[in-house]
Amino acid sequence: MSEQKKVVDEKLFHVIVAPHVSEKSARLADKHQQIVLQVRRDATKPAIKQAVEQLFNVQVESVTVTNVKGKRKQTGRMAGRRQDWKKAYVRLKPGQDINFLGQQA
Amino acid sequence: MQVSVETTSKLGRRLTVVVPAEQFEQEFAHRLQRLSKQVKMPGFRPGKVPAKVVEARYSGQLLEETAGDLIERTLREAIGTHDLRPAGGTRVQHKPIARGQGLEYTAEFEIYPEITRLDLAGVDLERPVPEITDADVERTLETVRKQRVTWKPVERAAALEDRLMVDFIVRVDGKELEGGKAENQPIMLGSGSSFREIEEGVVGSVQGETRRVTVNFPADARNPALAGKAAEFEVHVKEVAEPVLPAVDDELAKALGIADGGIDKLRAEVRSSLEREAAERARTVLRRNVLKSLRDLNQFEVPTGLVEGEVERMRRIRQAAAGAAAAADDSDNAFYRERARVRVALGLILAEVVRSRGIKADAGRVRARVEQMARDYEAPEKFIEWYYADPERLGEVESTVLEDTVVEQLMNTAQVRDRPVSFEDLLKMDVSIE
Repeated sequence: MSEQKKVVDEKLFHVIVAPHVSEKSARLADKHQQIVLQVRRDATKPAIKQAVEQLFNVQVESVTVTNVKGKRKQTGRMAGRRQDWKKAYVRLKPGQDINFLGQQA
Repeated sequence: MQVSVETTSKLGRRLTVVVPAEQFEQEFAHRLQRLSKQVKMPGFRPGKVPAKVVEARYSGQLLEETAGDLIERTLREAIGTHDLRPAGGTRVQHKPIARGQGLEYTAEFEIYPEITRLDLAGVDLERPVPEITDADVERTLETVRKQRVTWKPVERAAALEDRLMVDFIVRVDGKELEGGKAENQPIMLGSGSSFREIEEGVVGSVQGETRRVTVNFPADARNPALAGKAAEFEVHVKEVAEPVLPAVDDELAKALGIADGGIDKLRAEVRSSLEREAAERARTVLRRNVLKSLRDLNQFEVPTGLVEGEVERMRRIRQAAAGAAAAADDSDNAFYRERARVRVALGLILAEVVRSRGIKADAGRVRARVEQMARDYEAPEKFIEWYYADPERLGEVESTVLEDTVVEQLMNTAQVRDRPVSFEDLLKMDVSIE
């Protein structure tokens, strides 16, 4: 049991790829206590919820996800495509907050 | 803004300034707003970055900037309201800064000492009045003659003061030294410019004679092949010559560039040049007496910051003069410091005198001075033009003239006593102010 739990734990560290910082994410954080994250493409809502709760020590109200299509890029005749990725909107329970921005100068 | 002044030493002052939280906050918010209008960040359109994000990113830098700016402004105000004149640098230390708190800092500096005696009333000053005697003139002529000595070959044995022309070969352990061979080398007997053993060894030799002299080199001799060795010099004397001093006559005068007038004219010229030199020297001595008594009248503590600056300056000049060879060396710091202290003190006093009397460098005198300096050059007009082209260069001359003026004016306030001195005594007089 404990063996299995540990494996799950390690996977959780890999679920969240990076915080997604944009005008929209800043607005959502202010208005709706929602944080925006880039997550693994195979991450499920429960996994994201668990990962956020454990990593940031907060309580999650709900998670919504969306698949973002990678942009098509072209240089000359060479056409290419960027990787698709998954974006997660995580709503925290009232009174909770995560500070991604940090105090770097 | 709350300001309190502490006296840390005779000249040291410590200001403690508290800037209220509202003022700091207002200043900070203003800066934050302005920055967020300019800053560019990925994920945001330019100028659309929320203040919160900007603050998270730049708050440390912003706090420092705000504090620095506020310190600069409030410190100037605080110094102004308390009527302080800081001398040299100010050391500022502030407490940890954070948003929503007041800014508290201390500033330590030294103030200029108060200078009260700005004249020399009642001071006895000594002015050396040099007298040039015939003996002084003769002595100078003697020096000139020695410079124009000619050598006459003689057949007799070499004695002191003679000049020998020699060839020599150096041998160490019976083997000839590489490069140890020379021809037609002059040796002045009794001058001490060659090895003592050689000079002594060839006394009494005659032309064409060959002598062997052993020279013991010290262990630390520059040439490693010779260090600690006994080298044998084989000296072949090619010529013995005795010195002939030119006679003091019209010929000598002519040789020295006096076309007519002869020896009497030469004597007169020597006398007048000696007189010029003596007058210059006397003025330096008098100036030194003026400055010294001025310093003695104004005993005050000199701001250490200014002294340190002066020490640094003197050291730089010295190093520049000595070249790269003289590395930074702290050993003579004390020596510099004492001199720097006197210099700074005098500088302060003189500046105060200039200020209180409203003395200005007279343009005519500046001109005269530059012209005098130009006289030694080939194209005086060019030199003058060059000097006047750079305000900094001209400023140096102006300050010299200004100093002269100050010294003159100060001298007029004192009792000046003339004291006749001989030229030799005058040269021995102390002219250093330090």
